[in-house]
Amino acid sequence: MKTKIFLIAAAAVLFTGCRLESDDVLNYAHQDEMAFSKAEGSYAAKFDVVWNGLNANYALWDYEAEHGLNWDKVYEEFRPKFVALDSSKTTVTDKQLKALLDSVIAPLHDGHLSVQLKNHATGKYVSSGPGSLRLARERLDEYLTAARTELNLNYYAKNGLLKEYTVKSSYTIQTVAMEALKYVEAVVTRLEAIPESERTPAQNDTLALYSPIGRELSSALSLTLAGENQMAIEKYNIIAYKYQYLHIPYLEPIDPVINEYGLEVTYALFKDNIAYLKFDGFKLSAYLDDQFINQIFGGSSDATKALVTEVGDVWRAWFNAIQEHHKAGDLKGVIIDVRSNGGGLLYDSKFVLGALRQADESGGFHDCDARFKRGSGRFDYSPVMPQIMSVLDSAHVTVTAPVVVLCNCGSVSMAEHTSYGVKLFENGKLVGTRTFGGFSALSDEPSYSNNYAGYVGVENVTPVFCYIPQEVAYLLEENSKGEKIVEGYGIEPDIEVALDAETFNKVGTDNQLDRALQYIRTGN
Amino acid sequence: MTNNVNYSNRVRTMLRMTVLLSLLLLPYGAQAQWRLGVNGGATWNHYSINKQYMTDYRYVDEWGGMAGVTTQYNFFDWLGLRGELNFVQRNYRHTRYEYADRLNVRYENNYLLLPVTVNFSFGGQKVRGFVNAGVYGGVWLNGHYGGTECNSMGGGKSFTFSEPYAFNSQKDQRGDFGYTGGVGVEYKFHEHWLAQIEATCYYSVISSTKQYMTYQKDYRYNTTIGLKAGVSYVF
Repeated sequence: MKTKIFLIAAAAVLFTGCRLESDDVLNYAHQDEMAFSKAEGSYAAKFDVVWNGLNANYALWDYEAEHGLNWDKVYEEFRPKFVALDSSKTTVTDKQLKALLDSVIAPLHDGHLSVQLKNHATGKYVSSGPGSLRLARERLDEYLTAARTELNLNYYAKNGLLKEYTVKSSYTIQTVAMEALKYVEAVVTRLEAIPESERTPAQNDTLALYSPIGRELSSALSLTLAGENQMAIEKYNIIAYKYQYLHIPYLEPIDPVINEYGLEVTYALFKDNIAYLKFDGFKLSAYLDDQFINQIFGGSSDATKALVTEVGDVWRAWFNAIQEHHKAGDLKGVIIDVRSNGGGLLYDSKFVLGALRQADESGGFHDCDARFKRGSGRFDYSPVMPQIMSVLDSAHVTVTAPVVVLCNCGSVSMAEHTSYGVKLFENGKLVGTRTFGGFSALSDEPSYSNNYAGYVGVENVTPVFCYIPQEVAYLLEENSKGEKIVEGYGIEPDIEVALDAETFNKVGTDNQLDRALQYIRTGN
Repeated sequence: MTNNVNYSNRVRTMLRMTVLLSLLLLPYGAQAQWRLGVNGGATWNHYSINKQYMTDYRYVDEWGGMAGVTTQYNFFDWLGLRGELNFVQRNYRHTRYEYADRLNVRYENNYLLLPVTVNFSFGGQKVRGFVNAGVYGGVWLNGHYGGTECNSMGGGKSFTFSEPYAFNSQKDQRGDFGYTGGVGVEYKFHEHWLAQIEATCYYSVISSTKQYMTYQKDYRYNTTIGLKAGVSYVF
């Protein structure tokens, strides 16, 4: 009996737990005191947020591991360097902090990822992104050439090669401010032509007011030349509000929403009915979809709303030309130019490739595959599932003529989906140079509702902010490198043509466009 | 690393205790008796995981199946040593409180387990109760997962799928080890045959996930209850 009791008790002892506890992982999604308080005043703590935030949220860890990145080794190598910044006896400069952040981020591949740190010593923010670093490291010349060459169709228009040609921009700082400046300068010129002794006191007062207004407007406009549209609009609006009592024609405040949703659209129809569309960002929905228009421009002025319609009309001209000539049987081809297009709304798909084809059984078209994060572990992923792009709801033809997309190293995100999507068309071709390498989509949901990924912190608020793609996007077939993930690499063109910027600047001909035209016209 | 070393040491200590206890019993052999049997039944598995901040994730217990062969050597009528080879399913479901219609995936994991237990029995000649206690080792054979997934890029549609689970050698643990114990009743309906019903617990002490992240420990365990019935031939 005693033996029985002893043995039963021994058996019970064997069941003592041997399980270990997992580490707790902080939620960095929002402006959370617990997550970010230490990072307010410590560089090492900032690094901890970046490292842990990416560790849990970044969706590409298996790909990074295959390409030789050991994230644990990054921790061991760089954390001591951030600790050293905390002990530094001199003020840590923004340049120092950015250089160190660049070193941490550079090996990653995701083209959209961006990381922002607040330098508590200076109060300023520094940012870094592996996509930009990789571009600067590997393709700087190509990028600078593309960025400095303002491609247009002026040569083709001047030489009678186009039946129709329209360019419209809603970046009104360039148009409205210029009109206001012209008016003010005309008044100043007229008044200055009158000898001072012959001017009336009212004319002298007007001249005294209008001269500085002209200088201020010129100063605001000069910011647009440097690409600082937001600052230009802010400065222009200050001028407009300051002098609104003078009721100067055209001098009205510009709607700030234009800065986020400003768009330039170009439509041309070549003599042989090749319909050309170019736009500088995937924001077409803001000008073409009623829901988007109401949401974005619902509170804007009538002038802004009229401008929205005008920009939308350019796309409608392109779309209608395609419908008309396809039905007439004389549509030669379609060219969609997404060179130096930084991407934007996924919804825009319906106004681009989705306007040229019908929906398949998915309700749209199967553009690529996607995988999402499903846990805080580095390798916690969902199964791979199809990514569906939207197709235009209203009636439209299925284009059977050749469709060419033009791309370059500045074609990012949705521009890359458009670049890849045309390769899936039987009648499609991609011409230009390899795209940027930011194929995986971001989320505009600041909360973690769907995929528990997308954001670390709040931009310009928390001491650390990371904008992290919520997915990994896969090509449907392997590329020439035998890979389906193209982050940090890009979409390879079917016909590779580097831009001859020198000839464009001298003559005005666009050799990449010419190659696309050649393909459409000859099949070669 | 330190945790893994302590972990392994504790497991080795428990194994040694089991073997020592078994050896202590050898001098008591008198009415030794072999039996060989088969059994089958259902499993109910609980998957333990730290959800972290994903508070609306749910890991739901799931049913599965089990089947196996049993051999037992009785030193006395009340004490024996039992070995089994069991196919055991350790399943669970991953879903969400808020988006259950968009994330609802069942994971099926098929294991081959080798429990070794000490069997204590009590009662009469025909009907006896018993208690088993011991350890098991095992291996993950294969898996399958399927259901509905939330597809943020799916044009508003969820993704329905059913496919074999691809073992990730960096992340997934192939081997398993843990404690096992059970209670049951047997009925000897013939001189050489008896029937048993039993409830067994398999309590894994090895995480189903490898610790591939140096600076984030992530342990996940299966606890499986088996309800089985079987017959044995008594030699």
